[in-house]
Amino acid sequence: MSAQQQISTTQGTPEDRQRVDALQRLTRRLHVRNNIASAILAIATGLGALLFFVIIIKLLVDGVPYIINPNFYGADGTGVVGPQIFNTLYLLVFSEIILIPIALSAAIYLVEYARQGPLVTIIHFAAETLAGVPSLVLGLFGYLVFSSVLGFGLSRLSGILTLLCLNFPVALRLFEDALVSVAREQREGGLALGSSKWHMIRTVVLPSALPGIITGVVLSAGKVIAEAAALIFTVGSANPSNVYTLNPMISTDNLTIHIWFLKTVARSVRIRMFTRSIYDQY
Amino acid sequence: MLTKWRIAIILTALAMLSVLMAACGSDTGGTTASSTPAATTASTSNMACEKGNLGTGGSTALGPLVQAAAKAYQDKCSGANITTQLTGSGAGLKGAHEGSLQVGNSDSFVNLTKNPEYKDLTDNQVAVVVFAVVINKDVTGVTNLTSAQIKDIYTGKTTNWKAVGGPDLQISVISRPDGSGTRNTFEKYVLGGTKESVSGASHSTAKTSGDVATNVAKKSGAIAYDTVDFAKKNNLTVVKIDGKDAIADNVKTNDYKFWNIEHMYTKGAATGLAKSFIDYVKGTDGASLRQQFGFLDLSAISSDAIAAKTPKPKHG
Amino acid sequence: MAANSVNAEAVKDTRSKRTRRSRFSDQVAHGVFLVCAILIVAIIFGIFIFLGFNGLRMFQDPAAKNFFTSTNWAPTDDVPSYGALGFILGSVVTTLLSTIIVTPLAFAMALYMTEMAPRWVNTLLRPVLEVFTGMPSVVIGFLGLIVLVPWLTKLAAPIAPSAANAGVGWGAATVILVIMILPTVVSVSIDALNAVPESVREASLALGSTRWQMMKNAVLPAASAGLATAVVLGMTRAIGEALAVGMVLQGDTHLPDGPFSLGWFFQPNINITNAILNYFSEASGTERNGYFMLGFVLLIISFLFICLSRYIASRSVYK
Repeated sequence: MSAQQQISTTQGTPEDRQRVDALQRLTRRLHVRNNIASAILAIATGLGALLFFVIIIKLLVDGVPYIINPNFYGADGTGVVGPQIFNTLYLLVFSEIILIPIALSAAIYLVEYARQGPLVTIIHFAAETLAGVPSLVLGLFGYLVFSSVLGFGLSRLSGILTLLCLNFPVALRLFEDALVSVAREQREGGLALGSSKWHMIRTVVLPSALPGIITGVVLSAGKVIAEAAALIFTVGSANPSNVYTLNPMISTDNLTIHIWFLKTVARSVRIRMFTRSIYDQY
Repeated sequence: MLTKWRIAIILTALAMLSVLMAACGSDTGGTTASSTPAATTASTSNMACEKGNLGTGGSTALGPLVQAAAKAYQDKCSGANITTQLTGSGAGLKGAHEGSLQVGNSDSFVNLTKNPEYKDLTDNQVAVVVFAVVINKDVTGVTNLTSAQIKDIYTGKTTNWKAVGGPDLQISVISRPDGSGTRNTFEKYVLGGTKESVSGASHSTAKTSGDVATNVAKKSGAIAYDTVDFAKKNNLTVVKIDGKDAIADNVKTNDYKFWNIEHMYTKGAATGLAKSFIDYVKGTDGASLRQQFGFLDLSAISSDAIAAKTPKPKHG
Repeated sequence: MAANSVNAEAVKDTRSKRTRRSRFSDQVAHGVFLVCAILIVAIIFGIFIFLGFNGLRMFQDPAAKNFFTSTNWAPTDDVPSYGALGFILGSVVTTLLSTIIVTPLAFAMALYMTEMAPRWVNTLLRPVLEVFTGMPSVVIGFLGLIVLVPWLTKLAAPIAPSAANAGVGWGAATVILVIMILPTVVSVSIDALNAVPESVREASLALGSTRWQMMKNAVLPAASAGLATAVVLGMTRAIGEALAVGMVLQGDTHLPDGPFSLGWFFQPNINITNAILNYFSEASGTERNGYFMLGFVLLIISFLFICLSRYIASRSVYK
């Protein structure tokens, strides 16, 4: 900037002055363009942010009155979501109980045992593909395999197994990251002490990777809470009288299915408001 | 890191859900306590309690009755878990056939010409349902439609209410999906075997009986068909068909044609909890519930009328 | 093994036992881990095989041969027809349209947030993006149904063929998809932009670029592979989205009448996921297999998207 000013203040030949003028025009044009571009970027961000905030505010305004209303959480009747909350937690807990050991084992294999080669490539490609399968398609698969062929019917068990397929690639990815992040010196230290590989993994790698593993569990839990499409054909959309049991063979719904279901058979908007409000905090 | 935020949010949601569950838990104590006396009265009733898990589903017209009966049954018999999916008659039959449900509720008979694979299903007839053609309240001055007029509307020939004596208003036609037992009955007995063929912007499809009711109430110039019970409970305008009211007396003699027999199909003969529950729905225990949800008893209908609805078995 | 046991004899008995036991448990663990890792391959193969088998079985019915060539889906007609082109068109149109809207918006937001924004903007917006990335799709669909649809009904009534139904259809579905995929595309784009080393920016600025020139000529090209991955990821999400879109589409099985026009976007309309969601549970026979075939088509499309994003990622400079 100061260099340019210096040039412009120096007296020179007409060509020099012309060149300086052209340079100044160019600089000005570039600055105008820069400002316009910045303004457009800022406005776009503002619009996007506005969209998100409007949605959040709308949810809060409509939902909070129900959130703080204790009747909303009752066990029975219309417009209450006690059973749905229980079912959501049930599916969450049991799908994680199955998911964690399986996904962790697979991650340990990939990180600790497998050598780089076609098998690892295939497994990674399979995981990526599975992560991209639409959840509705997983629902069709779950219906076909777990509900019909294996004969579990519309039940919590079918739903849990479908959720396993849904969450496996996500959890595998995060667990792998967690294991990889454990320093090599730590592993080598373990092995140098003469312990077997499995012993070293148990005593050295897993404890160090624990924070990362917990991250993976929590993130996959978020997916379970939000899932509906994969569950509609596998756990169904209705509840027996008593849902507060651990019976895995009964058909239930969960919060997200409940919202979808109410949209089709609900008699009043009020009930929908009730259910939706749960997600304000989510 | 972005994930830090997401973890915080999910944990908050989880914490909230757990707190809410704790709140619900205290409620549950109350409900189980209150249902215990009901369980003791069961022993005085002559019905046999069966334990187990039963998945029923299908017809959204029969659904409310099955739901109410299931609730009553479970109140009486602890250890029985019965669920009722409201997914449509076709879904009930398919579920029973493919094993995702144990009992498939249907508004119409299995059509073995179309679905020969359903021959493994056993028919259990439980009640009679009465349907009605309903219209939006904006359509004033229309109290009766002839079958021919309804057919013209549902084949797209008539598109304005003016043509059938109503106001100058576009007809918004609401259908049920293809597998719906209500739609099958409508096409067979009101349209005289013609398929619905209306399409275009003024036509929409409602997935369930409840959905039909809310849409007719909401959409100006709407026409649809639904059970009389749903129509009454949603204060919809019911029109006469060919001058006949949708009332029990007209159904008994089959003067009013838009009704059908409700079925609860099972794969093979019903056993255990399924049998016990079906008996409960159609037996004396379910009589007051059937009445409450606007169903007629099979025994109240003339045998000629029943025969008219029953498909002739094919010989040869 | 033989050499090992000879060795084991040489050392003390207790130690050899312990070694053998630990080696044995190591092998068992190895086996278990391998099985679990293979399981994921088995699942994805199972999905392809089961859906493919059930879907392709529909072509045993000669009436199904027009699956990819006709838009007439009328499985219960006296002469059934299984033309699924209308569903596929619906999914493709809504996905492409929403991607076209999202891409510039998302890139602008990501550029602003990584290159220009004051700190507080990031502090405020990033958690919001995170919340929306994990937002249950039914919640968005539900909001669409009670806020967007009535609003669109009023707004689009003049150009829609039926004023009462103007709010639903491809138009509403596109808006819903924009809300659904925007956070994902922005988040992944931000990661891609952050992966560009600071030296690239410094080099560009040192050559005298304005900030915009630096973004346009240095950062965007350097991050292009990551940005493309973000868009493909968004498209994968959009084409498979079911509940939110189904709630605002409300079509049956037919495309609107008449030639393709603006009015098509503002009347009940169809796509693949809506068809499966609404009609699969009641379908039987060839029609049932038809919905599995639609699911299989969806699977193949998302598989191609994954392959595409892998290909792009393999060409990226900065990861």
